[in-house]
Amino acid sequence: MVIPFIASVMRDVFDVTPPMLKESAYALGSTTWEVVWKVVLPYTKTGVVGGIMLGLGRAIGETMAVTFVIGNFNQLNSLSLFEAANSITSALANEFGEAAPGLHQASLMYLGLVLFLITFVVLSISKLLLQRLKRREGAVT
Amino acid sequence: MSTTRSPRRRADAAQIARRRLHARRKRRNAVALTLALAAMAFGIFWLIWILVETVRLGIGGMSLSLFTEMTPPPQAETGGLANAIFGSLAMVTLATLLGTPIGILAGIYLAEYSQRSWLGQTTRFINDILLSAPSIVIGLFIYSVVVARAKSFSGWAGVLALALIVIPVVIRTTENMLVADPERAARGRLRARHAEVARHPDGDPAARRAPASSPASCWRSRASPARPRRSSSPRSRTSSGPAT
Repeated sequence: MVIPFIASVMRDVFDVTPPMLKESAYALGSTTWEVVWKVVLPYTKTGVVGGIMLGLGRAIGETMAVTFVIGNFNQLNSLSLFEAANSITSALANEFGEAAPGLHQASLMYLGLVLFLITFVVLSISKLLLQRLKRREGAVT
Repeated sequence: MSTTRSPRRRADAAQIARRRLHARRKRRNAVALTLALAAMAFGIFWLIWILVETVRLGIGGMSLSLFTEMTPPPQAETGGLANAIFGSLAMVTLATLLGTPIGILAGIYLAEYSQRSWLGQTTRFINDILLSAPSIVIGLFIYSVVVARAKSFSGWAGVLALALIVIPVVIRTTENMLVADPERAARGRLRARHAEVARHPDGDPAARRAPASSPASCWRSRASPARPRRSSSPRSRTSSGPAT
């Protein structure tokens, strides 16, 4: 689910590069790869990082796809990725329906708060990076 | 003899080196292109697999009763999924009806009225956060605000949660569409008021809506505060202040 998201963001980000820079590089005899690596990527560096952060935010918040397959098993004895486990979203989705009012529900609510704080921080950072890219776009073209 | 040969040999060597460099750059380009194509094929592969599996396994279960009959109790032989399908349709319809007006109005506000102001910037920022906020967090929010207060689950709670997800998307899209309109900037320079710009994507609002009023009505200054409330009724348009 991250692949298509990052792909579409990257397309938008790479479109920001002024065509004049790219065409100049081609006119000097660069190959496509050299244009991407030496012109487009340096120009859009912050945007690329911001896009990756957006994808990360998407992955953190994703609920159902993980809940179906992770197994809802509360353990941290082994860090093995091959055993059933839990993530914030899957714990919430699996347990909230049956949680009794009181401590159980309250702790699940708190889990939701933690999740929201994490996404908030990640998204804020990505927004700031993308904004910086946009400001530069305004300055250069 | 040797003096004439060595420069030529040096030129040859330079040419060989240049050719080698050229070949290496070409090769590197081909490798990068191959990797990019492989990444694309990787993405397409999963997409096609999902589509094929869905159709292959789902085509056999397709029947009219799926859409017309209620979900049976466990172990029953016949039945459908009508209630869930109806529920989805009703939820989505109501959430769209609720979310679209709010979203479009907020989008117009962001695009036309507050391109640069701090309120617009903040709204845009918060909206972007909301746009990618995990849906489960929104569910928790609606649970604690609506369900826990009303002490019962309800379809309206679902509608509200969906509307909260719909609104940021509509705001974002509306704003992007309005900002992308190239004629918009030109009309802004003609000092059409914000609301008129948003409402008349093609043409002169004054000529269209109030042919009798003076042509100066579309020349109102941007410096004079353009309030959406004023321009919403055609009557106040003619009476609100002189042209600059």
